[in-house]
Amino acid sequence: MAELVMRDVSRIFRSGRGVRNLSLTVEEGEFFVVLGPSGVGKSTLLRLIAGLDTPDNGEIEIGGRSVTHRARPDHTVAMVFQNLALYPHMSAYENIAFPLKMMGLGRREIEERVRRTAALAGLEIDLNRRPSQLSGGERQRVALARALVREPRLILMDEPLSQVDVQLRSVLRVELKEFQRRTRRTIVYVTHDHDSAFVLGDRISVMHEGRIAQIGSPEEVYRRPANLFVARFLGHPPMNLLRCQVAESGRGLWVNDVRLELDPPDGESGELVLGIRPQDLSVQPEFGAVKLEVKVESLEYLGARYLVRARLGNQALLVELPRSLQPGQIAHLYARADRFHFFDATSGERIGQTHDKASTVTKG
Amino acid sequence: MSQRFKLLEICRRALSAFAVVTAVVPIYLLIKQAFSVELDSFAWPPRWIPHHLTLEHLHKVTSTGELRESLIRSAEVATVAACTATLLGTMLAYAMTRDLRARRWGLAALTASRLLPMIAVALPLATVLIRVGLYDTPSGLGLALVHAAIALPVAAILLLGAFAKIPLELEDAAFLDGASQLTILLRIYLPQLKQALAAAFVLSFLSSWDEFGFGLLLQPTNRTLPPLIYYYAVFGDVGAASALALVSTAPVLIVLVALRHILIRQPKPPAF
Amino acid sequence: MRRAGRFLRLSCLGLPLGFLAITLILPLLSGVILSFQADGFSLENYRFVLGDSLFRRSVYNTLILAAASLVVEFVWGLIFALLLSSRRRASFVTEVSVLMPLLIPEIVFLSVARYILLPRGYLNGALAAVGLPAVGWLDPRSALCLLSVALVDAWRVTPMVTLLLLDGLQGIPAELYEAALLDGAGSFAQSRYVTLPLLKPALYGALVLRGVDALRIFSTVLVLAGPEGAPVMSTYAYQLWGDAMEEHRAMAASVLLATMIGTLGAVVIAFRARTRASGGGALEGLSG
Repeated sequence: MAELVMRDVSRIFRSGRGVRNLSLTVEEGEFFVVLGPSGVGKSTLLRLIAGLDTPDNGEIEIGGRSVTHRARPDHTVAMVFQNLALYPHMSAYENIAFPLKMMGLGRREIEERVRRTAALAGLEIDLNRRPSQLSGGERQRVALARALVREPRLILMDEPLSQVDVQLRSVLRVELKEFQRRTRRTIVYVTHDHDSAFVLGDRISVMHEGRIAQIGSPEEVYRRPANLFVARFLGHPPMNLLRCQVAESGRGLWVNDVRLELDPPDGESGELVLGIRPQDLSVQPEFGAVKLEVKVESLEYLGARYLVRARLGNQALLVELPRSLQPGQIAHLYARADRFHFFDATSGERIGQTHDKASTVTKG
Repeated sequence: MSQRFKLLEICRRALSAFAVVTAVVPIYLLIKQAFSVELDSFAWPPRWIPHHLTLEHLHKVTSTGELRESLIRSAEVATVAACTATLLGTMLAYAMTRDLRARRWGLAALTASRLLPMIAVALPLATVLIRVGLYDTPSGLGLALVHAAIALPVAAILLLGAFAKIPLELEDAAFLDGASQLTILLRIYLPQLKQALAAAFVLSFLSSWDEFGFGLLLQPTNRTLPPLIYYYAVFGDVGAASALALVSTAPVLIVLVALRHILIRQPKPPAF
Repeated sequence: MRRAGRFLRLSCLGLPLGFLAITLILPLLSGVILSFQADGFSLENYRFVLGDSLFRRSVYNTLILAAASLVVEFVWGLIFALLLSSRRRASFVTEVSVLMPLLIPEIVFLSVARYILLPRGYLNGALAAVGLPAVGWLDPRSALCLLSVALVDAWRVTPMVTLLLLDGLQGIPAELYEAALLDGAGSFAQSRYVTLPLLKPALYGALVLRGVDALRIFSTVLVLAGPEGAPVMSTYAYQLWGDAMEEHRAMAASVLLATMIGTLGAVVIAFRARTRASGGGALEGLSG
């Protein structure tokens, strides 16, 4: 059953930012990640779902009930804020107990539920301590416990992991994913960090300028980006995007004056944008059938690999290779034809799907 | 290098000594005059060390009706002014940290009210207060309201700093946790503002307690302390003036020295 | 933002601003109206005030007094701020001493200053003790009287300047001095190229704040020199109102003072808006 449904929701601020005609459905028990650069409307989206803000138009349903015009948030939604928003003057216990107190529960029941939730969130500390006396990870867990304690249908998270250092973040990330898998809570998680999105999300929705650019599983959005924005935004280093011209014959491409023996999708002609990830290129001929002749310009040593900056035609190309190349040298790179992505040069939308068999290799 | 360092150190010492002397002399003279007999105060050359000590001036301050009344009036006026200024300052600071447009309006109003010369407000205000029956009343209510208006910017700026430290998300979180506006105010904001509220109250209280100009113009017969000290000092009794001044200074000094950290690190409005 | 809080936010802004408007702005405006009244609408009050040689003298006195007081209090304020902010922390006694004139109620400080400066006061007593003749520090209408008032005013408000500048000094990161030292800057070059430029916003803000205060000086003059000893604009208006019972003329004089200060404020704010990046602090100083 769909836990959260948004239909054509808009909330636009005077600055022009906000959310535009956005529709999405989150299933029960799903870990749904909203991914996008900062200022793209992610937090607005969360605030709309939480009831901290009201949409200009559109409908929002939670658990089958419309919540578009609720006056007060009910117990169905809880939120973990980016800065966690723990009450600094209350102990960890009082923080977690606060929502229950507001519900008017008795002391006995509050105590019981706080203890149970704290254990569920992995809190093994003295709950009488104040937030300022807790470590970053402990604070995260207190914030999570406060969100969980009312047993909401839907938990919203606004980049709660952005405040902790990288190492702790990856630990907490795994923990959070594990927790969600175990308890099957429905979570909407907003972030600008695609590592978090990939680790956590059952599905990812990539946002761009207040709209959804693509929704899909992590594999889908990474392997088949629906448009240039998603292609550029996901992956590090970013995907190479090259302007190219379909050959007169309809077979093969021209990147400036360099010919690629790679067939465009059927029926395409004129200018296209060709995408290839730096990791999908190799110096070994057996790696793939499409050959690219590039000029090496410089390289950076990354530890496990080298990041090579090269030129194809007069366009820049990044390649990740396990071994070093000489700057100035002409190198041959190989890639599988199905690893190339095609985008419409004007609309930026993805074109068709490339298959290995569709591309033939001829000597140029 | 060490020669120069030595010179610098001597300068530092000299400056400190100068500061101490200029601070101690007025206080010493005040205390001396408050406790010495008339004869000592009018002697020529003036006596730096009193020949005869007396408690008569202090006794006069506490027993004479006019003096005691003005002492009580000053305390009442300052209390009303401080409560009003703290309450309104809290509201203004809240609005200013939660709303950008409110911030601009608030800052403009605070700036404008700091620019007004006392005399340009006090003269017409006297006319207004006469009309509404708050001029020169025994309770000094009219004066208390003006003092509140003067202290309001100070209180608001002080609380602005405290509010700025409380993230907006805290209010959102409490809202989602099911708290009403009143609960948010009482259980989320108030506990975190305690210190700033106390500081705002004390500073507003003292600014009213010390205020001279409006008091002089708006309470010509039912006087507050500062104008009364002025009349005694200029037109009459040195001993009583000093004793009265001492009584009005002592609580101020104690509070301010205790609070000097707040004063030295005066809170500034956050940049925006 | 959230709709539930809208009403609360509006009333939180409206109530205090309304209060300020009723207690301060409304009287000011009614004063402006009254200042134009003399048997109906007329400029008569302004004609009288501007034609009065005592008023012209009081304008002159106000400006001289402000200038003299500002120079003295800024020199001393800077010296004390440096003293309090130096790496070796000043002692508690020094700290309290520097602030003392600000801590004592204004009127108490001024009356003690008066006892010191009176013809048979402590200062002349000290002079006599070393065989010097007595000086008329507060002789009405003398230049010396004006100077005495300026010095006492500076003495009293130096702590406030000190605090404002201290705040600016403490905002300069220590790393900058270390960097300057490594770049070969001596202590003079450090003050010239690090302290002074970075202190400029604080200096500027303090100057505006104190400048406004200096122009509306009232109690210092009244207590030390009496309303006629060294008339300034505000005591002139007070005199007309209280002793001469010329209410409307008094308001004309005080409106002129308010206009002077308002113009100064407007110029400063306009100037700051133009050089926003470099000239911070002025507005904050005013509202703080």
